[in-house]
Parts: sequence; C-alpha cells; structure tokens
Amino acid sequence: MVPRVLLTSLIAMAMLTYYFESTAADRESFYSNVIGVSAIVGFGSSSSSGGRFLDVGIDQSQQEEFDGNVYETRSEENRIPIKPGEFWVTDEDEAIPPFPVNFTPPNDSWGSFETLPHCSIDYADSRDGFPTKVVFVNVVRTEANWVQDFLTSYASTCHAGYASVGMSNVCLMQDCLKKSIEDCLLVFKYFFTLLTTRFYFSLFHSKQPYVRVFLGNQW
Amino acid sequence: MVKGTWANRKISGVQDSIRCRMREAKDRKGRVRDQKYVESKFLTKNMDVLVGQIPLGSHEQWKENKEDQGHAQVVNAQSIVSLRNPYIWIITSTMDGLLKKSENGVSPSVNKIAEAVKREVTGELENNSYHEIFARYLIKPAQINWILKEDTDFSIERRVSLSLRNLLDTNALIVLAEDVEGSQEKLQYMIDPNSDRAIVKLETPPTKSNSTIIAENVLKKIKKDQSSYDNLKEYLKYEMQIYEQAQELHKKQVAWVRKNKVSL
Repeated sequence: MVPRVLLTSLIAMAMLTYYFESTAADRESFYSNVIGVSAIVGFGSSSSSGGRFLDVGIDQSQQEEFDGNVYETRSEENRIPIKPGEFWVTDEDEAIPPFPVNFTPPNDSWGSFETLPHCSIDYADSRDGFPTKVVFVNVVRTEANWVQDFLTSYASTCHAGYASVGMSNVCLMQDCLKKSIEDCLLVFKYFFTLLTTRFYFSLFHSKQPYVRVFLGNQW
Repeated sequence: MVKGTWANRKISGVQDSIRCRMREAKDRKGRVRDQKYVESKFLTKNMDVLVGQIPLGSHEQWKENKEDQGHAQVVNAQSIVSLRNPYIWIITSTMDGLLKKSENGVSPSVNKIAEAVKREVTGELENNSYHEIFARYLIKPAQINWILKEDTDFSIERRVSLSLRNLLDTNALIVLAEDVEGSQEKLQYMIDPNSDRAIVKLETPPTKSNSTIIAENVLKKIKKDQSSYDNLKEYLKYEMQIYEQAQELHKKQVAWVRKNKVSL
C-alpha cells in the first residue's frame, strides 16, 4: 500500500514539475507517455480485455542502452513519443482479412470471361435490363478511351443503359458555367474543401450521404 | 508497433466526390438522364454499362431485386480493366504536368522531361515512396474500407498481391495499351462470341499516340544514365510486378478467345 502511494505521489510531482517547465509540444508527448505507462500499470497484468503485450523482452543492444542513463545515450530529438496503442495489441489488430490476398499465377486453363447476350434480344423494356452488366475500370484514361468509345457504340446499338462516371476539374468548371447553381456550389465546395481540414470535410459530406451510396464509403 | 501506411494512396474526400459524380447517363431507350450522382437504385433501373476511373468491384453495391429469390442481389458483371506500361505512364504524366505549367503551351523537350522524371523519382525514393496507382483501382472499395477500418499492417507487397488476386478472381478482361490488337480481339469476342453478326466493330485500332512516342524517346534518354535508370526501375518495381503479371493474364485470355474461335 505504502509503495503504491509513494509511486503515485512521485508521478504527480513529476507531472506538476514537467507542466510548469515544459513547452506545449513537450507536454503532448509527455501525456502520451504517461497514458501509455498508466495503461501498463493499470491494466498490464490483466488479460480479461482480450489484449496482450507485444514482445516485452529487450534485446542486447537495447539492454545496454537501458543499463545506462537513457537520456545520456539517446539524444532529445531521437526520442519517440509512445502511444498507448503501441504497447497494447488488441485481438482486432491481428484481424485476418475477410478476403483472399495471396496471388498465384494461374495455369493455362485460366482466361475465360463472360460474353454478353446478343443484341437481337431487346432488354429495353425489361425490369432488370441486361443479365450481365459491364464495368469498365478505365485506369489509364487517354490511352484507353477507345474502349470507352467502343462500349458507347455497343450500348447505343444494343439498347443498353450507359453511364460514365467521374469528372475532371475542367469539366467541373465548364459545368459551372452552363449548368445549375448547385453545380457552381459544388465547384466552390471543391476548392473550399482543399483549404479546410478533413474534419470539416467529413461534416460537409455528412449532409450528402447519398453521394457515397454506390461506390462505398471510402471512395 | 509500426502500423502499415499507404501514404501514396492519395484518396481524398475531394476525389471521392468527383469519383461519385455521373458524367453522362443514357438509359436503355437512349434518353439522356440528368442524374448527378452514381446511385445503386438508378443503375439498377436504367443502366447496363458503367465506365470511368472507378475501382474494380464498383458493382458490388449495384444490386437488383430478384423476384424468385425475394432479396437484393449483386448484379452479375463482367469487369474490364485497362492498364499501361508504368514507365511510359509516369513519363507521359510528367510531360502533362510540365505542359500545364508552361506559359506558352509549348511541349517540353525530351531532355526537360527526362530531367523532371529523374527529379521526381529521386524525391519520391528519398521519402521511401513508390509509384503505386494500379492498387488504387484494383483493390475493391470494400477491401479498402476493411484495411482502413482495421488500421492493419497491409504492406505494399500485400497490396500488389491483392491487386493481382482481384484481377484473377473477377476474371477481369484486361486491356493493355501496349497490345491494342489483342485487347480489341477480346472485346469483340465479349460482345459477339459467335461472330454471326457484326454488332459493333472497331475497324481501325488506335495508333500509338504522340505522347507515347515522345515518352519512348524520353525513356531511351534515361536509360543512357545507368544510375537514373536504376532509380526509375526501383521506383516502379511494385507497379511493374502488377503490370508484368497482368501481361501474362492478358496472353492467357487472348489464347482462350482464339481457341474458342477455332472451335466454332
């Protein structure tokens, strides 16, 4: 009991001394350390939260460093603030991707892809349209715009619905001139967003959840 | 513990909004639709072909209600992915950058482009950053979400592997800028497998663009300086892994098409 009170008093004194003698930046990194150390002192022996320590053993080179005065062997600028997450690994940190990652080159039987229904079948009045949709990931743009043209011709000949996505900044400006005020606002939003923080942006976008409905939240 | 970072992903909120914006939409009756954003419901009702700088797997939120199954199902889709030699790509994009900066609109010289590429590559390598654009498109939105949510150590090697794995698993039809003929053959087969009627034919394959020709000259110039070329190779090594494997996949697809045509 007594050692614990003593330890707490010492930490409190150290914190007060540090607070009055340090800069704001120092304080921030100090608090990170304190939180990290507190996490160990407070929860280190418990395994009920499902986490575990990372390798706690110190290798020989580190041991030599710790044997001496850390602040003599490690210069001020090389000290890295330690965050709580760096001490503590939760089960989530070891999550296995819910999708296959490894790639092995396929054998010669690989190479098939789906073909599209013949244009003589008219899907214009059907509820779901073509049974196989086409998604063109035009990564390289200019050099593959001919594919886009090809698909446009296909869509108009075979009565398929055709949508092209994405817009360059120039197009945005052109839109601004010839379309609605709403588009103009989008252009202003575009430039304004460049100057504001990510936090601000997330607030802005929360008003338009439908924008991201299709391509997923992070895209 | 050092978390895996994906510093050069460069996906910002601004890009999100551009990416989700509809540029052009025509429904099955050929009517232009004034649709501002890409939405699952709109696509389901009106669309069959979706194109743009969108990631592989974009259709996974494109769902349709199957009457016989009583619930929404992801549409059946054939993806097409266009890729390009990363060496030529980085040079042409540097060239574009220089052209935009030039006041009189005059194309930069081969020397100037080569120097700009060398500077960019050196700077990026000093930051331990590698050219990585393919992964932005070949890793699916749901996978990106998972990686960011878990904040897990998903290294560049794993991103390369996942990108290729996705090409494989989706049976994506690969279009290579360097093999227009083979790519065209596959596309033609996709829309008209029996070759019984000429539905849509692309009569004249596009020739090599001027910028590609200039880029090839710039590459020759860089190759003369071994140290700069080594740097460039290092900078593009992950991108090249994807491109080289994609070339192999492309060859297998061309072979499959030719085999099927013969057996008709």
